[in-house]
This record gives sequence, C-alpha cells and structure tokens, in this order.
Amino acid sequence: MQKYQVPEVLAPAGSLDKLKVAISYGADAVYLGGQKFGLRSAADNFTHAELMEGVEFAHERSAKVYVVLNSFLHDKDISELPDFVKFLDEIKIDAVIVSDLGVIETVKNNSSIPVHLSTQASCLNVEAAKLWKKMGVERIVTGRELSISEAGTLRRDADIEIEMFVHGSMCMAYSGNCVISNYTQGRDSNRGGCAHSCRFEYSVDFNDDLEKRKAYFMSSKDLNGLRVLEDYIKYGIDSIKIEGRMKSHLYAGTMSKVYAEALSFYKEHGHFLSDKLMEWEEELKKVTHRSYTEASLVDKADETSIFDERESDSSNEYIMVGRVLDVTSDKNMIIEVRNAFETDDTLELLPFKGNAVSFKIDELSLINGEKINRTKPSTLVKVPANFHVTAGEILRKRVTL
Amino acid sequence: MKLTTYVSNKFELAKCKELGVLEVILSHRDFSRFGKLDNDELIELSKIARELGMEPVFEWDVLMTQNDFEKALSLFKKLDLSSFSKMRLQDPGALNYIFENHPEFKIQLNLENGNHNLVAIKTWISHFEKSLDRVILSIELPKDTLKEYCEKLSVPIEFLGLGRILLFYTPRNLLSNLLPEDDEARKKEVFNSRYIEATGESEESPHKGFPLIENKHGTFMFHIKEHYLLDFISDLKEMNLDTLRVDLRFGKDFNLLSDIKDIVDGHVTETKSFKEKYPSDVIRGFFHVNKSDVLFKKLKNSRIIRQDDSYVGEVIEAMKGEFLGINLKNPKVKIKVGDKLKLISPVGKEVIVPVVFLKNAGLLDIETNTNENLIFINYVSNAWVKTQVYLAN
Repeated sequence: MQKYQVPEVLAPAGSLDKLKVAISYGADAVYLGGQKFGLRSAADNFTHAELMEGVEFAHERSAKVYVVLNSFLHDKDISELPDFVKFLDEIKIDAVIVSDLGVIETVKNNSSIPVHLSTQASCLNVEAAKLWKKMGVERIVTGRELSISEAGTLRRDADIEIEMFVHGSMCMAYSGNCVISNYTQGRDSNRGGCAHSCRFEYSVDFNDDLEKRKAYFMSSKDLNGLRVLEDYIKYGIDSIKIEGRMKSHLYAGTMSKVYAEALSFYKEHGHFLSDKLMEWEEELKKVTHRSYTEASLVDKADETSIFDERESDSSNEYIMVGRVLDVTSDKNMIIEVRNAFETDDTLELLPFKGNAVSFKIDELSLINGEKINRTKPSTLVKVPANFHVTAGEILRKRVTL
Repeated sequence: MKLTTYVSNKFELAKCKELGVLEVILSHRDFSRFGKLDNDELIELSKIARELGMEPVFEWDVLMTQNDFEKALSLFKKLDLSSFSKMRLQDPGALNYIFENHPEFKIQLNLENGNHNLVAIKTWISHFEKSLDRVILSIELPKDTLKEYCEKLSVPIEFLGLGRILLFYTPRNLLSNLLPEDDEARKKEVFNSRYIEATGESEESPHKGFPLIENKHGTFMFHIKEHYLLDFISDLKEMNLDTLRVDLRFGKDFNLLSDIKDIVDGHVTETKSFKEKYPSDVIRGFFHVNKSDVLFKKLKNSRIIRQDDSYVGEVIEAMKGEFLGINLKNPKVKIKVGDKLKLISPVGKEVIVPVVFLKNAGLLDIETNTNENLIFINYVSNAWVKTQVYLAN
C-alpha cells in the first residue's frame, strides 16, 4: 500500500507530565521551556533534571524535543545563556526555537543545536525567510497571519523547513509586536510576562454621539486547522504545531491524539474522506476552547475571527476527572482525581490509541479500601477496570448535554 | 544631535527646512503603517526636499505576508524614488530585498521591536554594515544601556525623543466591526477612507483612553501617554546619540517643532512650559530603568519546582494517620525502608521523615521501588498534596 508523506505533529509540553502525555498520545515532537528564556514564565517549565528525563523519554519513543528560547533577551539574560545552551547540546535536544538574533548567535557559538525561528519573529515572506536562513536558521515557525499556501511559497522559494500552527489560542497582534503588558502591568510580554490584556473587555469610544461600545474586540477565536489539514500536506508544510504549554493534560493528550490519528489516516489512505473526520472534530470540541476559526489559514482573518465574549469554561463539553497513575495486579485503576466524580457517573477513558471507552462507575474506593460514593479532587481512588487500560491514560466526564 | 521627523505636506517640509531639521521621513500609504501619501504626493515631496538640500527618507515599516509583499514590490518597482537615497526598514523581508537588490539605498534599520541585547544588534550590523546608515533602537532600553550601546556600536543610533508609544499592531480590522449596523453613512465613509480613530478603556486596567486606529494595514493601539525625553537632552547629547526622532503625527500642531528644536539646541533649558502646552500627557517610559522582568518570580511558586538529583516526586495523597501517596517522578532514585526523606510543602515548610514502611499501588509491602509510578509511605503531618519529596540520606 502506498504511503504518503505527512507533517510532524508538534505538541506543547508545559511540564514533564504533559510531555509524557503528548508523546504517549501520538505527538511526533514536543516543545517545552526551561526555567528561563521562554515566553511562559507562569508555566511549570522544566528543570535540568526534568529536561534530561524528558529528552530520554522522547528519544526512546522516536519523538523529538525542541526547547523554546524565544524571549527577546536583555544583556543580563544573554550572559546567562551559554551555559544553558551547552547543557542542551549535551543532552542532545533536537532544536531550539528562537526569535532574537542575539540568541541565535549565542546558540551557534556555543553548540551545534539546529535553530528554528519562533513565530515570535513574525516571519511572513520569502525575503524574510531567506534572511533568517542566512542567519543560520533551519526551520521557520511562520507568523500566524500567513496562509498555508503562502507558507508553501516560503518553503519552496526560500528552500527552508516550515512549521505552522494548526490549533490553539492565538495572539491577535503580530507576535512579538505587542507590548501592552510591558507598559500597563510592568511585565515584559516578550520575556514571558504577557498579562493577556487583549482578552479584556474594552469600552470603545468613537467620539460620536453614540454610547461607548463594549466589546472584547482584541480577543481572537482559537485556531482549528483540522478541516484544512490536507492543505498543509499539499503545500509541503513540515510540521504542524499545537499551541498551549499552559493548557491541561486533557488538552495535550486530546490534541496530540486527534492530529496524530488524522495524519496517520492520511498516511495510509492519501485522503481524509472518512467518517473519522467528524469524530476527530467532535474530539476537538471536548476540550476547553474559545470558538474556533481558521483565522488566516486560507483567507485573511476577518471580523468573524474575533472572540467577542468573556473567557469562560462553562461551555466545556467534557472535563478531565483524573489520570490513571497505576493499574494493580487485581485490575484496579489507581486514579489521581482532578475533578470530582461519583458512583453511577459515566466516564470515558481516553486510550493512547483507539476510540474512547465509556464505562459506568459501579464501585469506588479509597486506596485503603474504604468504599465511597463521591471522590474529592487531589485524592487517589481505586476503580475496577474490566477493559484494557495503561498507566498515564486520561479519564474525562461529560458535563453538558 | 540631529533631529528627524515625519512630514506629510509642503508646509511641514518648509517648516523643517526653516528650522534646520534637514532629514524628513516620508510615509507612503502602502508601505508605512500610518502613511497617507499617495504616489504623486510622495514623489513631489521627495523632489522638493531634495531641491531644498534636505534628505528625504522612504519609510517601509508595514509587516507584509507573502502575497501583500509581492503586490508591494510591484508598486515599489514603479515608483520614482530617484530623490531618495535612504530607506527606513523594519520587516526582515523588506530589509533583505533592499539590501540584495538596491545597494544604492542606505538603510536606516529599525530595531525597535525587541533587540534588547548587544549581541543581537551587533549581529544585525555586521550583516548589513556596508549599507547601514543608522540603527533605530527600542525605547525599552534604559539610558545606561543606551549609553553603552552608543559607545560600543559602529554605526549611528536613533532613539524616539517624543511621540506615541505603539503597544499593539494587528493586520485584522477590529474597529469597523463595532460601528452601528444602521449607520450606513459612517460605514461608507470608513470604507472609502479606511481610517477610524477611537479610544478604548477597560475596567480590568487602570489606564483610561488608549488611542486606537484602524486603517488599511490593520488596527493599532497606543499608550495613553507619549514618550518624552526632552527633559533629558543633555544626557542624550552626553552619550553622543546621533539622532533624536520627534513624531508630531496624529493631529499635533507641527509648529511645536520650533519649541522642540529650541530645547534640543539648548536655546531653551526650561521645558515645563512646553510640556504644559503639549496636547498629550507624557512619560519617560523605561528611560531610567527597565524592571519589567522582576515580577516573573511571583508568577509561580518556586517551592514546588523540582530542585536537584535527589528529587523523588510529589505527594499526591495524604491520608491522615495512614499514609502518604507519592507520585514518583525521578525513576533513578530508589527508596527503601529506613531511608530519610525531606518533604517541602507548597508553603515552604520542611520536614525530615524516616521511611517506616513502603508499599506499592496495591498497598503491598515492597523493598524498594522498581517500576512503580506510585508508592505509599508512613503518614506525616505538615505534608499535603503538591509537597515535594527529596531523598535526604
């Protein structure tokens, strides 16, 4: 059977746990940050020991690890960078993701690590891609304003690898071109301190006779490129990237699983014409998200791409209720409870491969064997499993109809 | 120290000439974020400037996706740019194109977006030095850093002395959507002019009245106050800053340039009266100090960050009087009965606990952890979920 070329699925890993989740659910590569130099200061991020373990875990499963160094660094930050870069080289990460030319130089001078240009650098055209290639960049993570066909032109005419976002939250501004937090909160948005001021509700005064218009006018809907996945393949995009290092285990797992399964289907069949497409779409709706948009993937994003609503989780269809930490020899799942559930609830196990398994909770007990009817978050419980289950898999529960 | 400024008509050009501000930035509506000049106006002003012995500079700072870039290039090739010898460039694509194809133009390289370290700036300079006229540096650099850069860089530096602070730039049209559905006349006007001004404020921010502009290049938001360094002219001169930029666009009276020139030339040393008549509130921004990274430490709890090789894992269950469940996160560390563990709670409380018993997930006694993800040890108070566990032997 003919096999088709498909892009790499690149998933976010906000922590070592999430790295394992993303790779276990099918991601070909993950991107993550150390304790410094990235854009997510509030994320757990990785210590040196966690980085070593993460790289080992990924490489054992033929997955790649890219480390973000995509802050716009100041001199004192740059002076601390060489030691970290040498460490990353020693542990054999697969690439760094960089937006600052000073960081590119420092990486080149202290290691042989391949350099990917972050979306933060807003590379938008062939001439820019050619310039960054001259600077030593091997892959461009394109600006999110670019269409897939334009990204294909960059790949062809600049002869450089292209990574493009396929899913997740989006900056409304050109990435790297927003400093609202710097001046209003004293937090450098381009060094990891973004306060998400674009998600606020604003009163807009047009200086006319009318009342001020209240709107979340700077907030973008979330990107969802599933429906145009074939375009990524058609235009030779090398890597499809899922946003979300700050997001949940459920998000990391679901996104990795859906996009890996979709591309795996294409690899086998050379198309996406399948009932599975509807199933994948349904899966994407099951994690916390704002309304979806294809933004500029096909045509330029218009006013329908604005998410004019307050941030809310209330519309989530599903929540993650826990993660299987272990399976005992007598076929009990040991579950780390994240959100409460109770007997008679119907849960779904999201397996690393294959369809979700729906099951009813008939019996629930604490670790010491004491029977309970309802769980509490941040506790461990035992639930019998009469189906195949693997440690690390996620359990979710439907919360809306 | 030279002055440079934007001009958009003959009056402003003449004013510059009169005051001895001999370099002027001309902004074409298709290449500049806030440009208003059409082809004929641009060419006419550039020719007049040249005839007056002035230096017109062509500004290209719109960020362009590939399709827009191709359209812009086809227009660029048709423009009569014979009166220009300098280009102000920001997008690396425009920079590469001009550098590779138009060596006749000297480049004023706009590095205002990021580029907060010497290594980056020096690398830009080393790649483009043969065409560089100057670099324009970020106003997030404090004065000590700017001074150091003035000493260490091999090309002249420009810095914003007075003007709006751009906070946000998107290619999406965010304001036109908010105009009333039934205001057809306004919508038509907007469609024709492609220019909307407004102000915005949020209850979630103490700052009120952010200026907003939507035009054909997208939507822009500015700081409520303008960047103002006219109180520090002697500092700027002392550090040998080459050029100070003054931005009197967005409805300012261009005659203010006379006052500014007097201050910059040292004819006026008292700036209070100028500040009073200046139509916007002003700030010095990060000129004295930039501490925009000091709050990062508070964004997360450093006590729950894994520290070293003796790391074991994290308490995941604390069943009072019975046991602690530990999620093992470092498979290299082995624990056995008799070992001592150091527990650090999320509030920083440390406790040393000897391992009295060790059980697996099925609560069966084990000698040491082998492939377990989860172990149980004897209970200790002062340890709860998220407490970090280290081997303390």
